[in-house]
Amino acid sequence: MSTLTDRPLSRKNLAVTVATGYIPLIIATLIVFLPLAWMIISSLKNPGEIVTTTLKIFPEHASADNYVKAATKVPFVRFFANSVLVTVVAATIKCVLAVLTAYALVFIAFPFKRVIFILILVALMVPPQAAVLPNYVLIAQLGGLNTYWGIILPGLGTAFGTFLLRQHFLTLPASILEAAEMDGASHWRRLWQVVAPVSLPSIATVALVTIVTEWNDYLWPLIITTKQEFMTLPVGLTLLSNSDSSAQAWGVLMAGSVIVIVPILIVFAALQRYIVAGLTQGSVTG
Amino acid sequence: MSTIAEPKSSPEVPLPRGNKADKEVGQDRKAKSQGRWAFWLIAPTLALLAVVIVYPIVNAVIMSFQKDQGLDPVSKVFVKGGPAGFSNFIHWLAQQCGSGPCAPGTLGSQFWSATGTTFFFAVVTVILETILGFWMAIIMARTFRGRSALRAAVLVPWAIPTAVTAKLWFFIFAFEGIANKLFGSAILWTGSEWPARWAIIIADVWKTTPFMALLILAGLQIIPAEVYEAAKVDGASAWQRFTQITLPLVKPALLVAVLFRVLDALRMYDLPAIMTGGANNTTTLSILVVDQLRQGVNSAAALSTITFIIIFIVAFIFVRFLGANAVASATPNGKGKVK
Repeated sequence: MSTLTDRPLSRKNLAVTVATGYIPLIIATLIVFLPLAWMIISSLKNPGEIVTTTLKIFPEHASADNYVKAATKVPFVRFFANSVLVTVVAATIKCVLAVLTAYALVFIAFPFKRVIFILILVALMVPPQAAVLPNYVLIAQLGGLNTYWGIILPGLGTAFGTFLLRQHFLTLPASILEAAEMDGASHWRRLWQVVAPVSLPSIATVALVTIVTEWNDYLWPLIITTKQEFMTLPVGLTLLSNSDSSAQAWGVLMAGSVIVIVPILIVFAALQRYIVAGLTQGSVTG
Repeated sequence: MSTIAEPKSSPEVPLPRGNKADKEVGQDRKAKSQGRWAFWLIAPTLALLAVVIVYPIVNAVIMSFQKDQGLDPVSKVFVKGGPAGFSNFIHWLAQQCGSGPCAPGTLGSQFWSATGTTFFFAVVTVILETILGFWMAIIMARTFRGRSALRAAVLVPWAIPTAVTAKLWFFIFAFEGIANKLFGSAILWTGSEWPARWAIIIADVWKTTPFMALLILAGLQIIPAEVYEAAKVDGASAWQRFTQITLPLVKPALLVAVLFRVLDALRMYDLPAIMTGGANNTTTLSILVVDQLRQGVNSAAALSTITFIIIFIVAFIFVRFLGANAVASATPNGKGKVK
């Protein structure tokens, strides 16, 4: 808050910065990371150290035993591969469809445009669990139980990406497309050579939100899969806890949790620059 | 967020944006090819929405008026399907099973308590997340070293699968877990009604507040700094600046954030399902639908139709409420005129 005094390093200024900036920052960070740290610490303990009469924060002998147990008890590698496959396919389709639809809604004039946009908005309002049951019936009839396409298909029906990208496309200056139009570039080329490149931050935001949603999805994969070889990581994780009594299983469960969150954290670290930019730049404010 | 308001804008209200179809009148040939392009770009999405949104919803409504096949639980006679009238709906709304009220403990007796629980969770979590999220957004809007690192870091809980969040907090709130150790208490957190509810609420707030904070931050950033400077010169206190500048100006973005969160909270499933299994009065409507799915599909269809209507009404109220503000505050950038 440099507006309070003229000298940027005056004592008052420094105190205000610490009190209003760094202290809340530290509190917020602690609230976010302490539970996660507890998860990681616990995953390195043996059962005797987790259930104790007095509180012990750190393990005396950190070991990776829990990770070995978690990985051997349920097929984590398979769950991981399933999650990656489902997430990559679903997120790719969703993002491409969102870009195409948003482009048409903003840059092409056609009849019933408003009606179609309103339809898409209404789809955004439909609570997924209202569609869970009929979707289950539909997919089961089509033979989609315990298949990858059965897991992927119903999730594709969200309009969130279209909505977000449309909001962003509306803010692009008209001038950037005029040159391309003069050159007689088709809509297809205008989309991929002009609009998409300048919209990368927003597209990355949509990609991140979609990847997180798909990777985290629990209810639908839980319902549609009964065989382990098609389960995704979140579903498989709950399998881990069901297969053992709780007091013994805590360490293994926390190790499994760490395995589940590491990949999403890596993707997140790679794309976070964009999501913070994309989410705070008019995507919601319109 | 002018768009949220669009469904209710009537024909005589001039459209705020320049992308009306009549702008392109006089370019007939072009319009035709435009339409073709639009069709091919939009058709896949519309087809998908029809298959996975429209068809299921219509189907659910049809199914909810059908009888379940199978043995009648009361008369032990095999019942064929067929039209059921409103009986599936009455089963839930009046909590009637067969000829009398549903026995306590059966799914049929839980509709109103599940509705109450769902709304309780939605209201409490959204209020807490809005207040804490606002606080975090104001911190994040300040300029200081490490701001971008903070913004990225606080989003981490949002990126973690809810199943993992549930397991993590289940572990923290276990009887022998760290929550009891730290407070020196001996509470069976997930084993009785109110502690279980608060455990679920704390987990949800931890997970979702950061996302809320970012949505609010987006709203805060459209407020020009000069407005605050002017107010300061006029001698407005920090509290006056907050209530008379920040709040009114951030309201449209805030309402949208709250709407998204309410719709999300009304379908809460993962956290209570994993932390308590719905025991001790933590059964939400979503859990009830999924449990009923295993006992009778048509009855479950009626329940999901009711849920859909409830959520739709909530969304509708919000959009009406949002509408007036969103239209007034929308400043379209004169975009969309591109042919």
